[in-house]
Amino acid sequence: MNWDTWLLVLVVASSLLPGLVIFFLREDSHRLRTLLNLAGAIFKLVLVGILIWGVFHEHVYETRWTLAPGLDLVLHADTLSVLFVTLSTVLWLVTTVYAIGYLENAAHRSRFFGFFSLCVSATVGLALAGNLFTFVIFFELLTLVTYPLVAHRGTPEAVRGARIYLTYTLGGGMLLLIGTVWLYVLAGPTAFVEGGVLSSLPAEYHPQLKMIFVLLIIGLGVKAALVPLHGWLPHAMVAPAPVSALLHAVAVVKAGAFGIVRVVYDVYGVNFTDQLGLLTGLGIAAAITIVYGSVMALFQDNLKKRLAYSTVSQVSYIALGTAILGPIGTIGGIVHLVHQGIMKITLFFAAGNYAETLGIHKVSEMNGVGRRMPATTLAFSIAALGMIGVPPVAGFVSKWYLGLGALEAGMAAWVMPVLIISSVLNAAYFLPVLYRAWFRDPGPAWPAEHIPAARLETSAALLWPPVVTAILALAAGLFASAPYSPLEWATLIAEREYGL
Amino acid sequence: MNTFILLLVWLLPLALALLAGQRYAGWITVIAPLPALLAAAVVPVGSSVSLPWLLLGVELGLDNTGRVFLLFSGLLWLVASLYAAGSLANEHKAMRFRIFFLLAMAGNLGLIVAQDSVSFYLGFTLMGLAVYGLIAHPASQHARRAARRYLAWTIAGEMLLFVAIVMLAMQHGGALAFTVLQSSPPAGFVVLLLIIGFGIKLALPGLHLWLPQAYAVAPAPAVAVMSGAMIKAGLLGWLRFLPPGDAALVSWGQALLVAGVTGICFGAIAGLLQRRPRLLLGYSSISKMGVLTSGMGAALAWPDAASVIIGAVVIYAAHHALVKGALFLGLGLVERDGLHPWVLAGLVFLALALAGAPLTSGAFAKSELTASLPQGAQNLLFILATSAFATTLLMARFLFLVWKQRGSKTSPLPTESLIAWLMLVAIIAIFPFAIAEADQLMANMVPVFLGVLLSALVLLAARRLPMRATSRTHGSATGRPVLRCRHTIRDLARRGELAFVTVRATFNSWYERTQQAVAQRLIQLSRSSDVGTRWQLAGSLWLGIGGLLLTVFILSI
Repeated sequence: MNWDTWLLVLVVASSLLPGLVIFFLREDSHRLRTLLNLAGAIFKLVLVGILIWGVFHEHVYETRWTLAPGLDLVLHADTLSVLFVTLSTVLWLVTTVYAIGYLENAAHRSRFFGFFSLCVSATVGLALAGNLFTFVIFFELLTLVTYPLVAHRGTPEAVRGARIYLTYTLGGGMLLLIGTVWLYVLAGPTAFVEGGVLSSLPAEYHPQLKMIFVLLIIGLGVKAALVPLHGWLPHAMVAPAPVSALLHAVAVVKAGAFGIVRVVYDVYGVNFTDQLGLLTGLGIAAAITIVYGSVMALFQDNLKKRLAYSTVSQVSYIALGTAILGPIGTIGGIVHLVHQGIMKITLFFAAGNYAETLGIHKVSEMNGVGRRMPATTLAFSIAALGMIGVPPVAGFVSKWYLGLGALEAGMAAWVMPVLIISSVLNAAYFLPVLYRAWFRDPGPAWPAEHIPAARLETSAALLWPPVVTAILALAAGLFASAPYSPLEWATLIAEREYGL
Repeated sequence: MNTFILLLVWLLPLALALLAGQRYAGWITVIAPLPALLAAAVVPVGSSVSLPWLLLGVELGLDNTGRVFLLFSGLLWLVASLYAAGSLANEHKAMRFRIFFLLAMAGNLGLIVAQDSVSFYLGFTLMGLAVYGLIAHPASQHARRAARRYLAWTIAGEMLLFVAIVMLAMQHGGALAFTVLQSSPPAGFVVLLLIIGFGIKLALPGLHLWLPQAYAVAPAPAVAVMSGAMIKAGLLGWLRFLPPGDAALVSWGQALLVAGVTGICFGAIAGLLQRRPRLLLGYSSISKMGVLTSGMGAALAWPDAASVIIGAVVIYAAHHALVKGALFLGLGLVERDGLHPWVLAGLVFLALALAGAPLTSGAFAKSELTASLPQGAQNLLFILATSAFATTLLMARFLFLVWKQRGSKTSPLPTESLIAWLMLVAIIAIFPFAIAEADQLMANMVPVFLGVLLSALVLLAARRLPMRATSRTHGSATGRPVLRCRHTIRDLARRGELAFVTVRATFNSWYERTQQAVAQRLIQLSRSSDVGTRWQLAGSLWLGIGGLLLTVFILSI
């Protein structure tokens, strides 16, 4: 059994197989379903641990299936894939626990967990993809598998939201496919190689390469919620909280951002992209998205919609980091992939807790919730402060590297104001929420108290995930310079990308 | 051992904040500032702790400036904790107050021992945000507005400081330690950002707008530490980030001198016009921060004398911190239970100390400052003397206002708070005798004496010449013109005030209306399900922001 070849397949299979089995379970086989879920998640975690160790020691893991001459399905583990795989695995474990608690006594749980597991498999698959073709396959799979999750509740709004989601993402997927095929015609199979593979192409291809870049970015940008392709995101908020958490922190939106990072660094190469003059355009699109998302978030009373627009804004930090030439900007963008994931998932978990426990869906209903649910609200506060960029939560570290990278690349004149305006806007839409939660007195009754106050403020499966991820967010910032932190790993990625 | 103590300085308050929900927490929190005092007493100057794995690499240490800051901050936090333990009762709200109090303490003490820019910024931000909780503690509409205004200014300052420290890191190749940052002067733009960013904390005139209302609403122990210890963090920031002794910063020093003098004058005049003692003390703080700013400016403008001037400025800061903190605590006692004789005596003494009367710490601090100034600073000396005179008037008015307010009683005086306060007053009375020389203690006699004289005259005149017309004054030859004069002045003052209030109200209502209209329109657009308007909104925002960014980009080439 050749580990090098089979490890990656096992990583994908560890959620795929349980998922397929769960589909056929009866609704009430609660324990077997939980067992399969958790076993798969823990097994995947162990495998990823081995993977991290291996890649750190420059071991090569690759699986290759030849589908047709010149067309290979490749799973390959490099530093960037390992970063995303680890993030996905850890957050999937936490979200599984949360989903088990959230969907207690809900309908169609087998269907839900089946597609849930398939969703993680698709995410891990695209994280480990070794060339653009494999990436696109898993990317499309992700779209198809998340559609039933968005439409899970079956209500008219849910179905409508899912349909909008599907329209946008299939449209984007089509553009992505066209771009990939065009690139294949020009340059053959494009494997992901640190530093890019396209710089060796002759100069007459450059106009075409620019067009392809735009197509690819638009295709990926739909999932990554770049303005004006972000329209599906607020509508997808009808999904249950675990789905929103996973979609917005880990799977869909991150997959889009991850794809952008891959295209710029491992297909085109960051120096070549800069040569073609495309980095500035990407940076401007990212900057507009950052400001637009934050402005729109100010006017939302629905808590999940506010968090949705916040996601639109924050994920573009990754694109912004990508657009800043130089290792420090790269580090900032890539480490924000991890930091934003952890902080955003905490916020969505907390929002789900409020909805499940007290029936709170709007910010205006959150008066005094800090006294009723202190642990959840504390987790929410830590994550919110991180979003604003308050040290020592992780968000500060990302902003620091983005700012420093922009200064180093000579782009600070417009990147710094964007960072500052975004921080101020983040403060403007998060701090009032914190004020309401901690400083106002609660009304006569909560909208719909489903879970009464007992020893713990809500059920354990709902309480521990946000607490754990909030602690992780704090630790990622506090111990940023310690070994094995996300920052150290991002630095390693940047070093290998720039050949330092 | 030293490492441990330096870590405890900020770790203990932070840890106690987590335990603030326990029953005897009110008294346990009193031990929180003790490591700071211990560090100031025991840890040798020059010790340092390096934690490269924390955040972006943290350096802690103690130098001479840091030691003085730890001493007066630690003492003030200790007395304020004792006071708060005695005086704050209502259960869950007391817990919330304690948590924010301890977090602010951790931030304040942490930034004093910080020896690199990021940990300084961490302490500064923590302190700034925690104070919001202290100001918003009383649940009134007024407190909410004051707290919101404070927060807006603080966040603006923190954003500017973030840009400044990132640019400093860039300038020094990623290094964060102050020893490296002080090796060469910062770029001009960075100096501007640092001055404004820390100037917001120090309430420079124009950047002070958050201060009066914040001091008016927060509970007394909170205001004491805000005006005593925390406002000085701005000064410490300048001391850490702006290395004196470099010719490039001389013009910035002169700018700071101007700003400082403006602060002195503005604070004094605005303070004299106040009718509430808390606001008066707030404007007095602005005036004294002007003195500190002028001192900092002098240090930058005359680099040869810089170290001496800075030493004097730090001593002045210590004196002001303790006296102002004690004044606010005493005022808190009066607001609760009226004017007891001990409290009155203490307040009179403190008022004299702030004014710089002979035999008080004020005289000592002032003479240190004047002695340190070099030959070319004659104008500054004159202004400092005038400031002493003005402060005496200010303090006389303060005592007058307190006397007028003596009847208001809300709840009985907790003995612990009174004792803590009296201890602080005793320390303030005694410490000058321990470290000052005789001639320093006799300084400042003339301005203070003149101030006392003028105040006494005004008081007598107010008593003698009635405000209302009586049968006596109707007939007398001098009575009527004087009465008319007074009425005219009073009418003019009232009209001026009315005009100012009307203009401000009009502006505020226009601002509110426009804000509401814009918000309504945007909410309408963002919530409309009509695809057309949504595209319109997205498109116009895209064009607008894109155009703006493009302009900046083009201008920056």
